[in-house]
Amino acid sequence: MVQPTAVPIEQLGAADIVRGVTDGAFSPVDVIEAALDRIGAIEGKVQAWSLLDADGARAQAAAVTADLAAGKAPGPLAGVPVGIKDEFHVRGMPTGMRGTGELPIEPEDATCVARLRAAGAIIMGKTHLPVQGRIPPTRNPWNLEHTAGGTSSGSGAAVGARMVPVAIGEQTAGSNMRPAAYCGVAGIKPSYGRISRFGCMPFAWSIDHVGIIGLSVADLALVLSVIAGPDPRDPTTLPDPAPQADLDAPSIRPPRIGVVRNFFLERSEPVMRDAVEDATSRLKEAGAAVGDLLLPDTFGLTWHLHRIIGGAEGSTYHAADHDERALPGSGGRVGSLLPASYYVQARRIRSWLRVALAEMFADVDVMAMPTAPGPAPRGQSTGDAVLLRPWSLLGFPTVTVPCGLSPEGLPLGLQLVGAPRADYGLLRVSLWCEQALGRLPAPRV
Amino acid sequence: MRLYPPVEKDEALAWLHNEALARWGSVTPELERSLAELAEAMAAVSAVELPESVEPELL
Repeated sequence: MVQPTAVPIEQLGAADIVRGVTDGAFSPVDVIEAALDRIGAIEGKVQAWSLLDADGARAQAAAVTADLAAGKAPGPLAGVPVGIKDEFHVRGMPTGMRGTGELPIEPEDATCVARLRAAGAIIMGKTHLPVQGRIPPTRNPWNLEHTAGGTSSGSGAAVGARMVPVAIGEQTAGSNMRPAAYCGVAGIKPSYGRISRFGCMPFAWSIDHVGIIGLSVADLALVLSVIAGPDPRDPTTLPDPAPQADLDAPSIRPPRIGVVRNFFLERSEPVMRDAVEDATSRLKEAGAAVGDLLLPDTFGLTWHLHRIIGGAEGSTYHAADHDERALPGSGGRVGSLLPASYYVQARRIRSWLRVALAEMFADVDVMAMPTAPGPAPRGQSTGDAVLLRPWSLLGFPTVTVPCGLSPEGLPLGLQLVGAPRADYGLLRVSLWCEQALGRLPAPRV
Repeated sequence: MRLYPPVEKDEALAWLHNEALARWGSVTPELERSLAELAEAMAAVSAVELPESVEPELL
């Protein structure tokens, strides 16, 4: 089939792919062949995939193509290739996070994977994450000497390199947003409980969030509309229905943006601070009401609470495998020493902070700050999650959008934080900001 | 280790150090760093005065 535009299929976003498939401009089979060609051309350099299921992807694409030919209505993600972080169970595949050696084949999809399949998405395979403390081989598509971030390393790199338009990640500290920012694309860590965690191997139950990395904010909204919503197999899911995919761009009014002046900029490199100033100036020129915002001093507790709650929960989940799998001295290991009263008190303080911080959204639509302290570091470090931990702890929704390039040509991300459970409103503001700031082009790998 | 009256970081670290020795038999420099971070967190949490009506999040 002939492509409808000059943009190669492998560089189309999810919404554009669905439109092309629905209009008959190309088929799901065409989409998957284009994605596999792209992966084949650059995977040797980027190394995003821990398990690429080319045959399975072709079979899924053929089935969706046949359904369309038979007159069935296309699903909301018909023909969209998706990567899945190797922390999630996918039917018929091993889950890499279980460890090394011979791993069991999983009999069932995680809830988010099942919902993707039901919507017509094509599961391409599993993307790399660090396993047992070992950093994966994944490299940043903007500069192969730099990290793609972590722990959703492969998902960030796969989307950044235009192998797939969207991928599933997970964030306990900063694991979904950081790879998205480092790789020059958009990412969302929704409100806690927005997406079911069933079938996602845990790090720390009350801080784990299923996340999405995508080429654009519209793609994030589209995928969120499919995989969010209540799930009886995850009792922490919110009762709200999934947010709608249509962000109704024409109706979005210039937002009120509070630029957080304490805690975040002081933990960032000069190049990142300059990028935030430049980006917020551009947003103001575009019509946003941009003002300064100071968080209360008690916000500084969030990093301590993350250490206590994450340490206690993580060490509990991994209690059986400390000797074999935990790194000596890791935060998870020492968490097992904590008295129960400290864990409970930390959860009380979190409740208290959530209420106090939610009230700050009476004056702003979103808070703005850097996503990471700087661009992706060179070498094996996966970067620093310090600016993301507070929002993972609190469960507030956050989105990252690209806000420029560093002098050495690496992407920088602007983090936007919304009020609790206001994911749809946050996505609308993020779309407005993305349109004002512009998206980054595909990197030359 | 008590939660109240508030503990100082050094006090929490000494307690954690003893617990780690009893649990693992030795304390590596890497483990010592993690213990110091955890002790700082314990001291911070211990020092917070909450309204008595605040409960931990309950489903």
